[in-house]
Amino acid sequence: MAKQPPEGPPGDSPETVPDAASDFLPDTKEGKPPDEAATGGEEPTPVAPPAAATVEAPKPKSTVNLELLLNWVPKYKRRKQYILFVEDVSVSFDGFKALDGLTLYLTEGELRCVIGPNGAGKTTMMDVITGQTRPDSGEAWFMDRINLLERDEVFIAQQGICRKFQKPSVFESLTAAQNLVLALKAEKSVFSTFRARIGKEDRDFLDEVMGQIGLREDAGKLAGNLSHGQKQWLEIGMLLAQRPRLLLLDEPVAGMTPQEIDHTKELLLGLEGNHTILVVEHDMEFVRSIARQVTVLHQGRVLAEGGMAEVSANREVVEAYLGGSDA
Amino acid sequence: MGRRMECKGGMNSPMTGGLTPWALTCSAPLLCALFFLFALAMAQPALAYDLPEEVSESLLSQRINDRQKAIDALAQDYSDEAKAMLEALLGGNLYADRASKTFYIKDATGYLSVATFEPAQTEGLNLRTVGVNNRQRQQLVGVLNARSLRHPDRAVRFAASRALIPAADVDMGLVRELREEESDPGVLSNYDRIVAMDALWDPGSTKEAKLQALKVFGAAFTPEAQELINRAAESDDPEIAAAAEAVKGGMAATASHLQLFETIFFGLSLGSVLVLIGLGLAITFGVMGVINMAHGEMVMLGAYCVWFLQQWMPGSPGLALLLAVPFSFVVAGGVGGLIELGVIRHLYNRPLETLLATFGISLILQQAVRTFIASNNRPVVVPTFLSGQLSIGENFGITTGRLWIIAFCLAVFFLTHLVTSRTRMGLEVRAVTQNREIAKALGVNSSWVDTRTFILGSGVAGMAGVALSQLTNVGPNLGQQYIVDSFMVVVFGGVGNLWGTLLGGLILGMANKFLEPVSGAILAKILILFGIILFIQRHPSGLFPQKGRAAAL
Amino acid sequence: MRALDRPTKAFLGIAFAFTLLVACGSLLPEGSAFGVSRYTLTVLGKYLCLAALALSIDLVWGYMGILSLGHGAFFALGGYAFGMYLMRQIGAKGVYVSELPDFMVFIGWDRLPWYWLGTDMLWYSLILVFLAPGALAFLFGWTAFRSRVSGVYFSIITQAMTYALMLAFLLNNMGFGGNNGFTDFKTILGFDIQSQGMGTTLFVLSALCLIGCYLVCRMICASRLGLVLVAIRDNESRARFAGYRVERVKLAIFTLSAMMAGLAGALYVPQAGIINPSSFMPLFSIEMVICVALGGRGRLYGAVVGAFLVNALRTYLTAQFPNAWLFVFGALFVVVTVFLPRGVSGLAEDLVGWVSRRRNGEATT
Repeated sequence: MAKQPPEGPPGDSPETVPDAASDFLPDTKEGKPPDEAATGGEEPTPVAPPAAATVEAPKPKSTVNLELLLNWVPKYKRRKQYILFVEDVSVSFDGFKALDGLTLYLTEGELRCVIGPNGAGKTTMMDVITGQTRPDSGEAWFMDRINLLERDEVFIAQQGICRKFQKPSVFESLTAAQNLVLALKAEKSVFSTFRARIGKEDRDFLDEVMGQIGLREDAGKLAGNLSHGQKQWLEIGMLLAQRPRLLLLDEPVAGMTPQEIDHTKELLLGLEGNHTILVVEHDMEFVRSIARQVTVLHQGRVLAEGGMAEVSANREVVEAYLGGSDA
Repeated sequence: MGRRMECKGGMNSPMTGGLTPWALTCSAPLLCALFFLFALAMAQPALAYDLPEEVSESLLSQRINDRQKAIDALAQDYSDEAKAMLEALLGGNLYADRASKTFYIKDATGYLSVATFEPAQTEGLNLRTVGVNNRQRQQLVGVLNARSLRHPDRAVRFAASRALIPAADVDMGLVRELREEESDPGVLSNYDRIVAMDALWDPGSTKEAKLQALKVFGAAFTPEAQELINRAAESDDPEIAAAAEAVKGGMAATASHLQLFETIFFGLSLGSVLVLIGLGLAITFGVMGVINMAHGEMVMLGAYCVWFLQQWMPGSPGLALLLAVPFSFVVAGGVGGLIELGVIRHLYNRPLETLLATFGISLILQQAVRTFIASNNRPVVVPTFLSGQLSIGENFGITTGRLWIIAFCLAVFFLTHLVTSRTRMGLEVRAVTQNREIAKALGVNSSWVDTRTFILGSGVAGMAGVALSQLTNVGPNLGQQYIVDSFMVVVFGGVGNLWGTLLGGLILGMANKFLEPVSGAILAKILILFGIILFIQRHPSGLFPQKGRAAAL
Repeated sequence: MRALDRPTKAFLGIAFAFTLLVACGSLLPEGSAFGVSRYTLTVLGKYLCLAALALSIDLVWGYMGILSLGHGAFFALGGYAFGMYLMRQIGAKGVYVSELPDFMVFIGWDRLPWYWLGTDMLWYSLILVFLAPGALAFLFGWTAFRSRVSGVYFSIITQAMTYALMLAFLLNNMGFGGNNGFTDFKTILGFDIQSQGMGTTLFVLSALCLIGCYLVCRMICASRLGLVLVAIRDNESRARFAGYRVERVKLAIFTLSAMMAGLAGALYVPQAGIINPSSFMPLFSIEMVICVALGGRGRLYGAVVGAFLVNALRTYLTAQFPNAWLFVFGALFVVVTVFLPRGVSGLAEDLVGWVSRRRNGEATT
């Protein structure tokens, strides 16, 4: 499957999107007054995507006509603007709400960072997107036509949503090169895997990926013998070999040395634009250095969204991080 | 099995004592066994007989007719000693020494002194048989027969009168006479049924008597009357035939209820066995994630402990069996501890390798038993207090052995549960189960916990062996027969959950016994196995899934 | 061809040489210097079949990390499938002089049950040899892998499966001879099963079966599918997120492996002269697993080496010191798992590596 820009209204082409992408998206939970979420938004033209269409939504105060209009557009049309459309997703484990009405939109080519204190639901969010966890309610669509809630993780992975785990997980008894070969985008049924051969094109592509992640010299090493940072990169490389349309990176710099973090930063910034990337990270420094758009999760819902500066100025965010749990 | 007492003791001690958990697990069964032995010794009646003067004189008299007084006196005495005297008189086995005025009963082994009912030294005594005449002999037969029917103890009378029912040649005169004397309703109903059977059997009895008789059977069914009732159902008289049919219908319903009850009981007792053998495994598997394929051999060692102790004290198999409970715990637990320290310790986080290594150990243990003890089955005595029948209601008896197994299983279960839930050791064990790393960080010596857990699991398996020794042959293959079953119980119940093991074992036992009449024993087992396989495939974590880290095993 | 790496070439060379040598030796007259007696020929032929079984276990365990304690069941099913043909070949030459197998006459059946129909045709029973174990493995694997039963749980339920099958085949009215199973075979395709020529033929067929299985396994392992197998062993969830339908891979390999085991069983039965429910015993399956562990799992030749070592040791010890065999065997389990996790072939590879490093080191200094 070649890359295919989402068919959307002309206004959604990447050139025009940055506006929409750079302003904050109001928290669309019904219960929450939109102005509360808007405290963080200091952008001059907040063209906020609408709240859930099914709800006779309380209109944001600063409504523009365009937005009013958008509110009436059926949901399936709105979906087309985004590569990832997650709306109102709730997950609970034994009464504990891991996600509580999470709403998240990603546009093609975006690099989005998701931060939040422990237990905010970051990993659960990834689980939902990759089909590992079935939410109790809500919607999640990929590229407007794949209902993520009806598909299993293998199908979703094959569609190009590729995930790096919190703990580096590579195939330790295979070489780095073999790891990439395994990940390579291909028909992955049993028989075609048996017959698969690496062509010239594949070889060049894998070599390019190897270069990107800086493991050319260590291609023949067993993955288990790589350093921690190298394993992380190898895992990112495996995602790249899958020719992803959406990269989900769960704590890509956890446990890395400052040099390794720098390297990772370059790697991610190099990918930005060509790939849509969602990074979950604890390391604030790292997030500050790569983030255009930051989403703050807290207790399973979006607390704030926007640029790093505005988000870190948000009173609620500060409270959430400092442990003021009055939410 | 005496286990009930012992375990009661065991359940109390953790609450009261400041015992360390370890001492507790070891000593509790021991203490309880001792306690029970003491109780047993107290209950043993001391046989001794002090003959009244007139009785001894009449027995010593040269004139046979003088015996009459003694016979009459003894007939009024319902003690076991008097019965023994009467039987000895009848059989000509009562001997007297005139000089010392002492009496002796001769049996297969020698002489018993009547004064003490213990083997007596008779050398130097001038023993003469105490003779009786024919008339007195007849009287003795009657007295002996009737004495249990007139015994002051209600239970004895009931049993004796119940025993009369199947007998064809009952003296109806005697029955009617006894029926007049009797006041106990249970015993009376036995006589009623004898009379009713007689009425049905006797071709000369009236229609009213027959109807009355059928009414009796309608109220209290007697299996021996089946044939008579069948015959009555074919009677020419429609009224009698209808009444008999009604009785038959009632009987069938009762029988099916009894059948159900019996099946449940058998299911429970089989389930108890399964729980017993699964319990140890649930501990080792659930806590340590260790598949101990030598678990069956721990059970086998426990069973051999019974055999060993019974060889060691041949006179008292019951005592040996009781002592075998703590002994088997120590032996199997010790062997288990050695296995843990020697092998399993080196294989943590490699569950499949552990499985293979412990299987090797099981082969070695089996072969060791074959080589050093014997390759064929060893005889294990079932003591009398386990071989009795306990009758519930009229026609339904359950073997006390099975009852004890159920009680034993529950006792061991609750004891184990108590150890894991109420002691420091149990706390540490649960901590390690949930998160080994954190437990370590909190100062729990996790490897020592592993060792103790393994000893506990193996020891419980050993105690299960004691129970099994009463049910099956004790041989080198004992463990192998049960290993698959015990795994099934644990996996079915949910790993790491003792309640799951209990419920799982009981359910499987029940299911087996309910299937057996339909499909046959082997097929029932096969069906159960495939049922469990399918169940596990549906619910990989069993009936009671465990939450937390161990669930990701 | 990629599949033909050095160990494979070495294995093929040795296997062909061994087969040729033994087969020719068996055709020499009795008592000559290089002659191979009928007994030795049968024993070696059985080893070859067991080696093929070990190979099939190695494929699922060594490469995919799934420990099956029930592979003996597939072996036995293959054996029973071919045994049915052998029983039909006896025809009316049995004790009861009936077209029915003797045990059926004995339990009073007057005609063949439906599942025996067609077993008098060699081609059909050969299909059954693959079909029966394959179908069982497919059904079993399908339910197990789909619900993600893995690790020791899978091992335990495979053990329960073979145990349940053993109980089932012990039943007389299953129509498989009950406790005694099938025995007293007379002919294959009309040729006397006892003849020297038949012995040699069966031996050669067993060798070809082993070589064939080896090549199939090797081709799989050398392909990208082989990488997927190792990937599943290393990190199943990662393999899933790399886009592989792990269940299907597992199911395909498990079924293939069961068919290989079935073929091995089918060739084993005419050489052993008997098949009975003891082949379903969990013990037999675990024995074969320990062969793989001893030889070194994750290496195909390791499984073959292990099977030969263990079975040769057994033949020797059970004849010479019958009491010692289980001690040695039990100790083997412990020693291999604790001290030799990579088996003798791993040890040998380490030694070779060490020696060559020494030599290189000396050469450079």
